[in-house]
Amino acid sequence: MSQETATVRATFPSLEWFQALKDIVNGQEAYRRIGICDTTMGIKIPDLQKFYVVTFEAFEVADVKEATEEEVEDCDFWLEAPYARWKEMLENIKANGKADLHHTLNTLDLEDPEGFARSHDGLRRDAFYRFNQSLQFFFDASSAIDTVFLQQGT
Amino acid sequence: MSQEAIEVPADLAQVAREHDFPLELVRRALALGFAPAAIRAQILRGISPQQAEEFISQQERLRAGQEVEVPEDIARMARKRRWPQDLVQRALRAGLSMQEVRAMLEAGLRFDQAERLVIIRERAQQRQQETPEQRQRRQELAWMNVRTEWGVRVRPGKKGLTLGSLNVGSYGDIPDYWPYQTEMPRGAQHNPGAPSMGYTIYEKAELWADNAADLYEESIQRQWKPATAIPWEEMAPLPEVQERALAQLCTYLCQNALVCSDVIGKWLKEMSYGYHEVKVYMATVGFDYARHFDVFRKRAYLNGVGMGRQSPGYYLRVIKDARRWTETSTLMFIFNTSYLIHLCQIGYYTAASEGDALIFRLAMQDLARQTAYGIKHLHYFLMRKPECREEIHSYLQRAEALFAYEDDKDRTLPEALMVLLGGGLGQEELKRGYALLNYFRRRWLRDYLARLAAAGMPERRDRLFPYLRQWSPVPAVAR
Amino acid sequence: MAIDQDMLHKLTTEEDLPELDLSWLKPEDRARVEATRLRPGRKGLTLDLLEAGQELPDASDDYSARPRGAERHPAAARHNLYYPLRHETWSDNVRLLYEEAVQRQWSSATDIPWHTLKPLPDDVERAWCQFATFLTEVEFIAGDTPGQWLERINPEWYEVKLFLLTQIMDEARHLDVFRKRALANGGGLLMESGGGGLRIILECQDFSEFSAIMHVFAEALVQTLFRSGEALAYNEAEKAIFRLCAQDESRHIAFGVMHLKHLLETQPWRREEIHYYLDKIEGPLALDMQSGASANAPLFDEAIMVLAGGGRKNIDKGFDFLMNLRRRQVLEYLHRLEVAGLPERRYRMNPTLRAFVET
Repeated sequence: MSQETATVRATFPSLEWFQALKDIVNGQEAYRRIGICDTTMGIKIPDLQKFYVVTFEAFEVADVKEATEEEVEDCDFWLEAPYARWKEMLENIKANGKADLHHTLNTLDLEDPEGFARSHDGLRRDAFYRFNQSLQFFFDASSAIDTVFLQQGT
Repeated sequence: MSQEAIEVPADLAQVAREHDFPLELVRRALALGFAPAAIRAQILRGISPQQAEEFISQQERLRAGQEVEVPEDIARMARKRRWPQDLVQRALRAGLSMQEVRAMLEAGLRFDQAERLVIIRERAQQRQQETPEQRQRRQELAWMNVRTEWGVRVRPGKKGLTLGSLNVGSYGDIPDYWPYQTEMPRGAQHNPGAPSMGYTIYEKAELWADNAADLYEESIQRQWKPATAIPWEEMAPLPEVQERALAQLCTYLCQNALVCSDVIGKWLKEMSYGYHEVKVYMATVGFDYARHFDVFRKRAYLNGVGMGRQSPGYYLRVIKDARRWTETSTLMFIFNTSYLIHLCQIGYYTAASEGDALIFRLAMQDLARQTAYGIKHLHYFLMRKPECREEIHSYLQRAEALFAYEDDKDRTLPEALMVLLGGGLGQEELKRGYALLNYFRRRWLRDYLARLAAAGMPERRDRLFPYLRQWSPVPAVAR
Repeated sequence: MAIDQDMLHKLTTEEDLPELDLSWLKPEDRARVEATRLRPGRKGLTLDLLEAGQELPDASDDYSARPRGAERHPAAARHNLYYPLRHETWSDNVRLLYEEAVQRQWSSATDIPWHTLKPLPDDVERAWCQFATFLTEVEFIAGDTPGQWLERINPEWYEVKLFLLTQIMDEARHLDVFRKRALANGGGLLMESGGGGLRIILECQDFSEFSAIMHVFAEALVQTLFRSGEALAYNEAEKAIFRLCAQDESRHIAFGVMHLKHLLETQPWRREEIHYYLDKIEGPLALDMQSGASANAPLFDEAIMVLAGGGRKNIDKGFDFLMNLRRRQVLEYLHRLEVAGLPERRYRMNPTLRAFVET
């Protein structure tokens, strides 16, 4: 996926950052062409106690919001990793225009014995696989954001 | 009514003028009751005024109660084909020309077939002569009075006009038992004369899943094309041993896809039409398997290796041999698909190129729709048939046992996976490959059991076939 | 990032490496690597490119699930009693048709401009709904039937299986799109047809019988109807339905015609047998066609007449359309049989059909 020149500067994690990502993705025909994506995805950064919910609906990202841990765990699945790992993934995406093979959602998931994608429900967790191409597109689109990272521990 | 009083429709008159066709002949034809469109068609086909005159005169004589002389060769052929004596005259009175009658006889029409044609023409003729009341009665076609949800319009939503969105009003009423053995679509009016199509599944609990209609649409929207979606040119050969190991994995996936698609094909005709959502979703599953075979075969051959060794196919027979759809669905879409996703995870994890990773990612997407159906169906089934829980365990036991049998007897695939995961044939590489294979198998068992739990069978965790417990997320305690 | 090394170490030391066989690696074939690397062409990496130069056997005594080219497992289980000869199911255009089908998939949800549906006069709307009800039924059968042949086709000739799977997919979209049409404009599903002539396709006992009856005869009639759809369509949505369905049907017909051709070239002694199958299908379906204008089973044909006439008041104009349609259907059917190598069918055709082209 080729990205437009970076025009948005936002801090990760923040609602502004996810909102910017939502807008970028919704503006891309290539995202629509992947096909329907219907799922709710939680974002969990335990060491920062930061939680977000991203709602995918039909051919667009319908909503992003800051959430509680309970809300995140009520999603179809959530992505959980310490901040450093999130940062490494997003920096890799920025550097390459998209995740290299060591930093895709799938790879991160496979390398974590507990899984990067988690769920309390064996059916709903499979949404991570079902819509994986769309989800990867979503995060790859962050290469168009001028992401500001928090200093570790802040 | 005199012929002069007959008004020739303007468009017909124009066609006649354009073809130098006398209007007087047109009027005579109209007076005989021939439809303007039929006359127009004849003119356009190039009938000459002379031919028309001959035909119209003949018709006028017939209408006046006279008989037309039938050439001897036609009479002889009619006798030979056992046409009733008056059928030729009837055919002529119905508006057929002598040439048409001859052609019918030369074509070998039996008397009953010829009579059908004549009846059709007679009816068409009657239509021209009927009163407005008769015409109105005839135009009240019986099927036009069938009760429907008249006035209910289904509008496209964000995902377009989806199959699930059609289930409004009485169309959304999906009965627990489908009473029709015919090809009737749900929501149509039954025709008592329709024959049985010989399905065997008429009970909703035996095949239903609430997500089938959505999965069907999702599947269509997310289909991908092996020939062009994969960057084949950018996929450089792996070191030979890994290339062969990957080809071996692809061979297994090809074989699995072929067997599963056969199974889908076998069951489609068993499912009655009351539950078309499941049938059409299964059509997409078959198509997914076709594309999986396609992409994995292409990958196996891409860098000069080709197919590896076939699997003995013992375990796959369990799916093929299933006698109940829920048995098939559970084994194929929960047990087998969990296993296939596990194999794709290994393929993805070991992918050395974007292309290889993409193949396995896209395949996993398709497979995850299958688990979604399999889980929801089993859940639906168990909610309505709790007495069948042990039966399902027995099916799972068979699948797990046969998997163990094959896994133990034929080490081709596990060895290939070890080579892929370890990155070579050295002792340390193989040890690493073996460790990683066990790591991935633990994930597989974890996900398999989580899916069964979601379907309402959390207890399978404690009843797993002993061989599989070596990778179980819970301690392998003998029961 | 990587899998945790401690955990891997634990797994490595915990497990004893089993004794390995590795015979599947076939080191004797090493020279093949790289020499036969595939390269995609203008249409991508197609089956034609994949199989170019590969052996395509005419016969197989393998009843396991072994894909062509795979090394045989000496103890493999039998899976089915497949057709042992390629000629019994093969079609020379099958790879091309499979790839075309994959490339030309469409969605009834989003590729039909449903917004162009506007309220129609009641009689026209009802006629459309009756028409769509019948076609939904037809496509049900068309979807079920290819599936029953899959397990009779040897994986040795997997291409035929793959093609049939695309056909099942196509038919699912067809039954779906006609159901949608019936329900999208305020009408609904109407009367089930009572003829049951299509059951004859389900009853086939041989693949070539199935293909001749379904692909060459039945789908050909339907395709001609769809191609004539301009006269029956009242908006862009309906035109799109006809156009897209006709494309799909054309692939199915192309398979059937070329299979028949292949069969007649390789097993010429089956010519009379094929005539028998065509006699069978032309009989019942020809009667259905005729009865459309009689009072016995008028649903489908009457609906066509109302649609083509622009309403039930002009049903006679519609009748002319129907008769012309029948003529075109029969002519195109005969032309395809000529291509398949069965030109004499013109003279052996069911007289009721023949009457359409000779009177």
